[in-house]
Amino acid sequence: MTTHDVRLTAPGLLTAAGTDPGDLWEALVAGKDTRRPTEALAGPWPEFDTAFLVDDPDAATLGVHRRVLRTSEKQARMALHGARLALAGPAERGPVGGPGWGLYLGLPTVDEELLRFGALDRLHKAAGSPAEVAALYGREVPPFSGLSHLNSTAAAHISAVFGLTGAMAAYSPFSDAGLTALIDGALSVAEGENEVALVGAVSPKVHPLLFAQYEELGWNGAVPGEGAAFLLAERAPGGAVGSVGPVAGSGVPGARLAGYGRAFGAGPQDRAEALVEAVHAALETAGTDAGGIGWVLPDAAWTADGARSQDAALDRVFAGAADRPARFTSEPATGVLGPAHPLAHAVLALHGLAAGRRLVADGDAVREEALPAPRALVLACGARGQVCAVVLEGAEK
Amino acid sequence: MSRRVVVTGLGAVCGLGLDWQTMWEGLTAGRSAIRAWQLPGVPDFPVRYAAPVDDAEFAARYGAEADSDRPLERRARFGLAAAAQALADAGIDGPGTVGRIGTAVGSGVPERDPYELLHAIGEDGQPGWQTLFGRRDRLDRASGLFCTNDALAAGIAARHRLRGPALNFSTACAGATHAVGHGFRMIRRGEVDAMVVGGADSVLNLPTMTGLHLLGAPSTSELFGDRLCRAFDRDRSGLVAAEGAAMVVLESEQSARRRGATIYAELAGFGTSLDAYQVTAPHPEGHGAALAMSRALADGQVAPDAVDSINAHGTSTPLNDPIETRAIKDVFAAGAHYRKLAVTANKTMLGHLIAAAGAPELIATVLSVRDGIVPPTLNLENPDPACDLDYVPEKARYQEVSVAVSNSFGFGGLNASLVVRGYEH
Repeated sequence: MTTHDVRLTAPGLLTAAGTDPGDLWEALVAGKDTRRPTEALAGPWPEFDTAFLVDDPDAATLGVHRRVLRTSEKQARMALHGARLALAGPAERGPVGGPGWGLYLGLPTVDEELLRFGALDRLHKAAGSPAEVAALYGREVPPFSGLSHLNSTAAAHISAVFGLTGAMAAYSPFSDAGLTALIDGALSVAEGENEVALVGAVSPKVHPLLFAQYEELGWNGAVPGEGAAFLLAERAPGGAVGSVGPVAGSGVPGARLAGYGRAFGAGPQDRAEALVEAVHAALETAGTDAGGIGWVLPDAAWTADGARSQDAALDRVFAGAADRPARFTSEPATGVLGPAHPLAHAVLALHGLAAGRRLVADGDAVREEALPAPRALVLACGARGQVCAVVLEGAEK
Repeated sequence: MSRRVVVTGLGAVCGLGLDWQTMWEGLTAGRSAIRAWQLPGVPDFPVRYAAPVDDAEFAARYGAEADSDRPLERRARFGLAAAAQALADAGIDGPGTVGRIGTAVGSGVPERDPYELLHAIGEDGQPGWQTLFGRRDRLDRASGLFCTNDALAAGIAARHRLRGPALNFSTACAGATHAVGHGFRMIRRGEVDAMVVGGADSVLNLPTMTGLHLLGAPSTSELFGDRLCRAFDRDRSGLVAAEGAAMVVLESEQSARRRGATIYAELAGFGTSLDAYQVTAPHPEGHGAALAMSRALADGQVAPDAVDSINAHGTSTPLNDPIETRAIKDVFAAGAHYRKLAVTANKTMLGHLIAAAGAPELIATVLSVRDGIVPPTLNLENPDPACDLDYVPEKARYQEVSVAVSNSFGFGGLNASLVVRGYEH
């Protein structure tokens, strides 16, 4: 099997902090409050009334016909916006689209009420008759709900708008889905299936039912956010042969996915074991060890079990390292982004690797400092025990 | 590292049977699971035929295996049962039998309780999120809101103590085929030694069927009774929805041979594509479908003229069938080889299992190669002039099948194809 070196380029980021990785970096350093009030949350529903929201992109922002809005909902539109941000980068790459361009996505499920509150009175009146309830659904459900409630429709929209006909996959519904998209997207290029893979993930929209879902899964009250994170995995010029693994030394600009690992652990203890296994696999395929990591970006800790597992795993992995790398999360400026969280971290890491800088939390403040090693470790900790780890590496100068 | 990947275990739960042997016997006998059906208490729902799983039989056979300490959706219960069956069929009992085992599952739209807000808010509550927050414990824990799409993959992994990756694919009707294909790739590149892969789905509920009906996807015709699913026939009028699950154990050849496992066939190639056309219709020239098949053949280093049979997506919808026919002709045009292909549409007997559809169809493809039988395309009485291949009408055909392709094409142009060939050491 032919393998190619892959570089990660063209980061596109949509979060409450703005539409550029630099915006997020600066918001974190400045300690900027990027939360906004949300009417749906006001009152006794969770004990906060703000979240990290983004505007619902309109047709003009997305560069699409208004009919696209009928077959999508906010999550798909945020994904389309994120994709557009990534593909609006430097033009020297040439035209976008065609059979060499693939698409790998991490998608949440669509969680919203099936009938609006306005129809509740009628549902109550009809409740004794399944036939009348069915008739009510037939009248009240939007005609394209079968598509807008299907999370993979986001892939169809992105493909249609940008003309991507390459190899593809879409995963759901939590943070491991986002990092899996990055891993498999990069592998599709490394193994010659795509020349370029657009890799991205989107958060769920902040909706009251999301809190009910999170609560069922052990939510610790972490504030959710909205957004999308995208980048390109593309073949390094020169056709250097290497696969996902150690740098081939081709002087390619942009960072690269140097290593990856993924595993499963059901309970908190098993999950920590699985994380250790995934991180060790990522370090091994990257041809480095714990001492070679300059920055760690763990997953958003939105459950107590997840946080404990992640802490335990990182303590074990870096127990023998002379200098434990800083751990940092974008949560103070983005909130919990679901599938988009680890990809937002990957984009933040690319930004840091390019400048040789990292962010370090210092109490409530965030400071910027030099990266001691040109590699970042990004983790994803799925809600039910699915874990992933990737090592991102700055290109050789 | 590039390793060969073989199929060593099969499991199925569908309207045609609660195990893969019964399903295969039904497919080769030309028996259909499609029957008159109605949503409970809704006699005038426009969609009147489906291929459901018999609840009483399922509960009697799989009650414990399909249960969980947490509430589960219907599709997840089917999937757990199919996975247990496939692992038992492969002779895998716990993590010690094979090295590292992962899971990959295709899933679709979550199952939702049509009364969810009413149940939560009740008759006395003021409609609004604050009321719902106070009464959220009344929401159905077995609905897709809580049993999220990853519950099945994680449930299989937890139950069978599988430590490899647990992935969930969301690519509409191609979900299971994507799960199989990515599991295949993970074994081939040495990331795992084996994978439990497949799909599970149940759309036979009011919210999902309403959504599908409003899109015009299921047939509402009553002209043909239970012979309604008529892939490639001029009188086809839409898909017939089904429910169920199918799982396959994929394993590296080395692992399978080392433990003396039964090898059904080799999974040789996988290809995917996007239509880049419309979310509501496939590309009219079948470009995406042709790309997926071509890529799967190239991935398996299989020449088009080596293929004997195609397990078509064959939905019985007005758009899919002629477009898939055109795509097949494009891919297999060399030497007019397409004229010799035996093309079969299992959905005429199984119905359309939506996100899971590719999984039972892969099992049928594997067994076609093993047994030298191509199941029929039922109800193909008056071929559409635009559908002019050999679709094996009405009766199964005994013929050697060395290599076969299985197609799945999802809503919005998300396409995936697999290549299966007979195993030779």
